[in-house]
Amino acid sequence: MSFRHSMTWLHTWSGLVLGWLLYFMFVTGSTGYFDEEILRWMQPEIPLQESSISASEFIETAERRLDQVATNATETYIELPLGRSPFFSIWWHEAATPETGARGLWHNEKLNPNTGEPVITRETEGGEFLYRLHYALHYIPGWLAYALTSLAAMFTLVAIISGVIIHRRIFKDFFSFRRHKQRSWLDLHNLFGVLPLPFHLMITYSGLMLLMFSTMLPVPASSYGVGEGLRAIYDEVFTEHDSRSATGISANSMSTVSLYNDALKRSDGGLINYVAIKHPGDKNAVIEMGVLANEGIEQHKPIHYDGVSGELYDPEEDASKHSSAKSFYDTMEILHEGLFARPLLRWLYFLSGLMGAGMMATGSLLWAVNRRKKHTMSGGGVRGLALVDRLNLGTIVGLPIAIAAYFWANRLLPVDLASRAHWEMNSLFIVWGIALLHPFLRWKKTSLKSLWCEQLMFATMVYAFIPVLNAATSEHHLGKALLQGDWVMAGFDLFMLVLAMCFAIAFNKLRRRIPNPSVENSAAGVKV
Amino acid sequence: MMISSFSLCLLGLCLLSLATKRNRKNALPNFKKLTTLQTRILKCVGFSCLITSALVLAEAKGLSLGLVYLGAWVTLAALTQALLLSYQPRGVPSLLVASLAAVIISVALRI
Repeated sequence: MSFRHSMTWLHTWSGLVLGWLLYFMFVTGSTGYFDEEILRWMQPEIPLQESSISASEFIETAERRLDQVATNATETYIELPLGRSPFFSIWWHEAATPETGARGLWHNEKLNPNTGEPVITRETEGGEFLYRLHYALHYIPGWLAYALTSLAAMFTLVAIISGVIIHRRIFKDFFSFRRHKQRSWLDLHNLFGVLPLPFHLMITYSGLMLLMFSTMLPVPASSYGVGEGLRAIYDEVFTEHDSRSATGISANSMSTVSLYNDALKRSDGGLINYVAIKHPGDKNAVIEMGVLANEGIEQHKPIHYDGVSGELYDPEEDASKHSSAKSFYDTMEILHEGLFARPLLRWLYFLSGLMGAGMMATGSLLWAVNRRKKHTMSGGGVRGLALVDRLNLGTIVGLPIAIAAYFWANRLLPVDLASRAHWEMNSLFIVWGIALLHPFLRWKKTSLKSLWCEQLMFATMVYAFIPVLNAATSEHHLGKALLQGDWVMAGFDLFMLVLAMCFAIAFNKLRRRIPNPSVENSAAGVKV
Repeated sequence: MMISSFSLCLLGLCLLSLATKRNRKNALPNFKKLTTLQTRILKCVGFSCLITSALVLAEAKGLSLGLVYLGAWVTLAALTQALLLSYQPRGVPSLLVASLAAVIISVALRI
């Protein structure tokens, strides 16, 4: 076997074995780039800000509410509805009390941006659930999920590198998509793989790296041992060091609004979208202003103040300096999560992620197309091929249908249902299970082409009616959102319509083009 | 300088696509055959545009964010090229002229 042949074998099998899991990871991971926007849509109780309110007013309102609810807080956090964040919310941390056995907990309240009153929202995990799915999966223990997703990331990295090696004409075919030729699936697979190649390499390598402390445990364990030794090194590397601990001596804090105004001047016109106070009311209080970074790949360039004197304070001064390995790890983490990305770059991250999903989908379809051709010529059995065909359909179209079901469940499940968020998540998997079963149940009654058409038509319908569902179950219908300039709500509905249109186009195209294996195989005398 | 850098990517990829025989035949069916030297010049200018775009982005956004934007711009420009070559190949020369004009205007306006 020549080197190129062995690489082709490696590329095929490393891509196919966990191909469906990788498709799932690319799709859910891509939705994670819009987790806050998805959460905003899934909590329609939050009213739109009706008039222009200054950040100082927001801070004063939030502080009034924190004075009522967070009397024993060790840390408070005010999220302002500026920049990307659509929420006006407060967070506070209450320390653990060993006497009662209560654990330290973060509490969160979303506030009405117009009145400052707390808003009671429906229980949902929003976009965070979809984002978490891409590495933590669901229903299985964390260690197993990390091992599976890490293995899948490793397989993708191998498939990408071997794919570059076997792609003889990577530059000549860089733009090629010969849509009416037999090579069209291969061209499409190459396009989805090659155009965002830097993204694919970055996302798989960094994904692998982010999970290395779970999956490559023997490496740190060999140096630091297991148990306490390993825990200590993890804490040292990953825990944010609090160089100023509370003294227990009360002191009057500086006005947060005046520090906010000072930070605004120092930030050169940059937006400040959070205010954090550590040890409020203590002599060692620290106030942090979250200035959105205008350059570099960090999301924020925070400015810290001594909470009592109001002087600038550098928390890094006493903290241990990061090693170059930790800096590299942090850089890859930032690149992977893309939190720094402004709207345009965020959309391009999302597009590249979807192209990754497209690469996995076309790879699996290409395998099935090639295998079918081979079997048609040789007249051999196609049991494995039939299984792949069914799983391809149930995954490639079934997963988007399941995600739509998650959005439908958000609006159709009773607001006061117990464990509501869990039932939303369950809805996704129940519908995906049905979508996976559908081709198995109807295989003998209808052709593969018809099965694809059925699911594509269903996907078109479920996405096309999401804006209608939104209009029927909330006050933020598309027309109103557009008129009010509420681009988060309007953008979500519009994107659902775009997805519906894509499925409708695919439905139309595939109705005419997908070869019917029953016909092909019966012509070749093969039983499916 | 974001528009300048994207226009440079688009221009560079237009030139690189026209440097390959099959794409050139589809985009410019009546164009005379290019010599090897002319093809190499097209490739050189195309790659120079991409390198210039990288430098513009590094200057405007810093090296780290500039490289991220470069990856994103190249992906978007290449996708535009691929769609045009697949569905409307004769539109490539128009895109070439438009991207050249966009480069000149955006560099002059420093946008």
